[in-house]
Amino acid sequence: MQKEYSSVKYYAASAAFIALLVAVTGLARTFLNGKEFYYPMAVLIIVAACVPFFVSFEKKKPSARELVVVACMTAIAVASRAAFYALPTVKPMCAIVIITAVSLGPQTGFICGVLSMFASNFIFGHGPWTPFQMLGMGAVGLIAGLIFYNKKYRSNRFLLAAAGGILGFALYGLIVDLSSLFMFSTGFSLKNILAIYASGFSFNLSHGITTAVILFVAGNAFTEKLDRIKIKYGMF
Amino acid sequence: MTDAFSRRHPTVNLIFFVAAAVFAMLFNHPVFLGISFFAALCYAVKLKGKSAFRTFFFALLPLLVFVTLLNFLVNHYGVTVLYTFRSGNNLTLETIAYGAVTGALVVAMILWFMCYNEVVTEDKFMHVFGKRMPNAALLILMVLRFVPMYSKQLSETYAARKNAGLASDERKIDIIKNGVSSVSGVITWALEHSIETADSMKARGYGLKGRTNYSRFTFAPADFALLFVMLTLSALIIAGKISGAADALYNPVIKIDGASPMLVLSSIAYLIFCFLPLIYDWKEEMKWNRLYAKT
Repeated sequence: MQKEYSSVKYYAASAAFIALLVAVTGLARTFLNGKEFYYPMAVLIIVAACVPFFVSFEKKKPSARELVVVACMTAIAVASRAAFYALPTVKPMCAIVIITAVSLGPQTGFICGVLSMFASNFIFGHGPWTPFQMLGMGAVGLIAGLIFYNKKYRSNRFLLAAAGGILGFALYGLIVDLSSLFMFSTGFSLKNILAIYASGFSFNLSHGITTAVILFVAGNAFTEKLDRIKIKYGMF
Repeated sequence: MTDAFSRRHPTVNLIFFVAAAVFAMLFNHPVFLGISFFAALCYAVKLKGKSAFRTFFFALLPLLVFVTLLNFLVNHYGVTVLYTFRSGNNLTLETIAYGAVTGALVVAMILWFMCYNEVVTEDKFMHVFGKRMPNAALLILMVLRFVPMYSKQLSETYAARKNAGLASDERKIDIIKNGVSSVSGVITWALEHSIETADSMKARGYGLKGRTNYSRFTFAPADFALLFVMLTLSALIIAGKISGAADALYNPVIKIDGASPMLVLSSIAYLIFCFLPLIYDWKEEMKWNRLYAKT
């Protein structure tokens, strides 16, 4: 997947559409006094954000090998979430998505993150939170890929663990808690937002710490395995 | 596949649930909310039996209480003051009512999703999206197949390592060590295996032109009929929303629209829409019983 950003026009169109949706949401607030429009609009925005990644993924026609390796990494991520079913605060999924992004690139990281959340919710149950989890995990993959893909410092385990912990705690936590904000709170004052984020704080913190620990302990070993496959079969 | 509605075409199932979830989010009028809440609960019980009750009483009702509590502890808007806290903040009727309405809305949504999980299974979802997004659909399909395969491989690897004398399971640390080595081995195996799978796919003509997907779903006249009924009802429901007959305001004062012809019409349409799967199932059951009685 060398041509990561060949489909600039899709991204531009998506960005324009998102801006339009945000404007419409703003108008809905002033004209309709409609808090109830926020959640559907947020879901539409998430879909609009995901579309360009998937369109370029479909257009690029990845080879069978690339496709199955991405499926393999996504399946490992899903299995890792399922393995810690009893401990909902310990989820190695985020770490595995980051490892995928680090060695296969930001776009693949995004796809892996989005689809692993989506597929694992076939096991855990879909809900109003699914789109937010998908976007959150996708964003983690994308950012991790942008920071570490094809970079020298990616074998620095301290850096990887720190970045992974911050992404798991802050980025994923912020995006997923948004769904609680849209669902649970009746207004959007600063107090409401803080209350929602405070109630999710310990959960997000443990998620971030788990991610950091797993990346620190197993990150390099795992990326080596992927690199070995990449070199052996000349992929990506 | 316990009920007649889930035997209908996946597109019909999917459209129903998307519409039900969107309507559930858009209406905060108590009548509409009550209809959606009750219909979703009935359908969930019909699909899942006792376990739906268990989830409802032990997870969803506490959630409703939590949302209500969160709302009136954090917010203090509203004009009907019930009690003044020592800190000077007011406990108002409006915050309790709005909190409860929001909580009920969330619970109704989750109940609809519980039904969705039973009705729109992976294969149905793949059927709807497989043609439009073949790569992503194939990816999800492979993921869902790989997960059980990897866990089986993991338990086999673990047992093999133990029985080969490479690890003991006397102490906790040994179990963890063996587990970690097994996981590492399975990951390497999984990556190699994915290459094998890909080569096998290629040898069988993956990516060639003119290949079609197998599908066991056909769009029957009954699907058209259901779709038509759903669209008509949706039009009435949306008309009710747009005309402003089904509005409810909770902040700063509670102002709920009273009964008007439009509200009655729209809420009856909503009632039929939300109970559509149950009505359809009941209709099919009657038909079956009649045919059965004839013979």
